[in-house]
Amino acid sequence: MDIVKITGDIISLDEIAKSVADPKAGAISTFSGTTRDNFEDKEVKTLAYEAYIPMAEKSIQSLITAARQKWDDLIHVAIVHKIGDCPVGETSVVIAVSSGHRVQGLEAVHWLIDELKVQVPIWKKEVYTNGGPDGTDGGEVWKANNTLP
Amino acid sequence: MAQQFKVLYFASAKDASKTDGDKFEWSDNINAEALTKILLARHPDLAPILKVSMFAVNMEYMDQDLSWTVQPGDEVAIIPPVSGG
Repeated sequence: MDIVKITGDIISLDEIAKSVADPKAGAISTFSGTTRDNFEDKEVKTLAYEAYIPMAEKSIQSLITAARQKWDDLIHVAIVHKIGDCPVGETSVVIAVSSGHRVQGLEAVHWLIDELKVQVPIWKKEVYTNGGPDGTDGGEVWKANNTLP
Repeated sequence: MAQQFKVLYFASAKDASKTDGDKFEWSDNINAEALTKILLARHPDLAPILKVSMFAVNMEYMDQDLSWTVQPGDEVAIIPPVSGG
């Protein structure tokens, strides 16, 4: 089972991990992305996420399909990404993978978050607490991960 | 009735164009270069962003396909450098 969800609601690692549970699984491997309170020497108040939702869902699904080609021991895969505000300490993305044995699950989770960050059309804006970098009005900046070649 | 295509703006492109999206009248032979000119004519502030953005057409990234042209009814999206996760 593949679970792909983009939501404005608060996301729960526990619920998402439960959603990939299976009697045949010897492991559930997970990744949670959380909002950090700093970037370089600036204090971050919140991240704000935006997505090209239908393409992001399609892109995430194709990453899961690719992961299943690479790792045949995967059972269920769930990827849930929040959009809207994500204040410090809150979770923006959860990836959960159940697998028969732990090795492939751990590798797949690592690969999936690395690929998501490069390919999926989702963007985050960093909102700072005092003023902005380089005198930016409103103290916010659209971030960029490493892009596609 | 004139045929059209749609362009969607996201993130920094949305801030620069001050809109979610535009409709444009379709004509033949609008390749990536011509589309860029059309976009800049309507939103000059998009210039620095288009330099670093990709196009997606009907939800597929458009590689540097020199033979690609916009088709009527296409949904083109400006994809600035992504930052999910």
